[in-house]
Amino acid sequence: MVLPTSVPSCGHKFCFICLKGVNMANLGGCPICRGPIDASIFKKPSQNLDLKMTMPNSPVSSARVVPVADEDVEDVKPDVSTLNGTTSNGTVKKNFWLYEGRNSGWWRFDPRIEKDIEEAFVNQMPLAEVIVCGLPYIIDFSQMKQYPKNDRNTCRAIRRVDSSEFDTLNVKGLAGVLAK
Amino acid sequence: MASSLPRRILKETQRLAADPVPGISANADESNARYFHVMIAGPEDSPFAGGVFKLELFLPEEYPMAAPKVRFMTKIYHPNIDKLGRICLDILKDKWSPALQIRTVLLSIQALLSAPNPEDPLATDVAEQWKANEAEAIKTAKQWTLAYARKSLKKALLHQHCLVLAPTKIIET
Repeated sequence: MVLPTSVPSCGHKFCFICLKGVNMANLGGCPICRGPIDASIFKKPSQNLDLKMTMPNSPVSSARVVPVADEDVEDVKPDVSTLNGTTSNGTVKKNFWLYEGRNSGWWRFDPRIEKDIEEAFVNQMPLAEVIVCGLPYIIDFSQMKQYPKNDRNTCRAIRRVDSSEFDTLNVKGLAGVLAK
Repeated sequence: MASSLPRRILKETQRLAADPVPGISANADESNARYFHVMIAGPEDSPFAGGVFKLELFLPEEYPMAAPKVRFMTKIYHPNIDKLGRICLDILKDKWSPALQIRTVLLSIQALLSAPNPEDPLATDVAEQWKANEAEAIKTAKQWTLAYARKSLKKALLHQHCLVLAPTKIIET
């Protein structure tokens, strides 16, 4: 789970942006028990968090996973970790994706969305489409901007930075959650 | 445009193939990963036993924040399924929750075949018949199953669709 967030009334826990998406879509309460969701938890949320956290492990599934059927055309995808560059001591150099805050500073994308953006970027796609809080957003690499798919006018600047550049910026938090 | 398939849809698709629900098959379309070809075997305890029903399931862009769209393609005599194959099921409408999945939706539809609910009808004529003379309605439902749903079974077998039928009683064709 990324930024685990509990529904105050029932205690069921979800990723922050998943729960926010549920609330925005008016889906009638908690996804597990349909209990009420107090919307105040989405106003200026803050958590103790590691701003440079890596991808969390997927929830453990008891199901066996078989690879998706072979495709006719060999899908050549560069290995993101190698393209990210490897430093002399062999550790992988990670890139972070940030979006501009409304007033100031930067937010880091949810690590799972960041991974999709990075994959599209290293594959030299002109755009990436990602789902944030249940809504589709376009990541435009030529302009380094993001905007909701159905509203091009509310765009924000985005940046791709390495760890040292990350440290020079005012990164306020992750996916709209302030770092305490 | 890089419109990658959300990881959740990918995972659900993989699990449906690796760990199928007995009596249900769901295969993503080759050209559209959000469109599924579904087959549901009529439950043994229902007038739909012996039939295989073809459905289409589509995951809208908002999925899982919006319910899948599901429709029967095979004609069926059922008070909660209308002539166009539309299904009256609360979880497909206002009771949708993103904690539900393709798998649970199809299980609910399979359960709806076992438990027709004429009090909450979609096909009003069928529901009225069901309430007025249940034995007659069940007879009609069996006839329709024989007339329309056996064909899809033959077709399914012909195409060796990976349909997992309930272990007992493979239907004699």
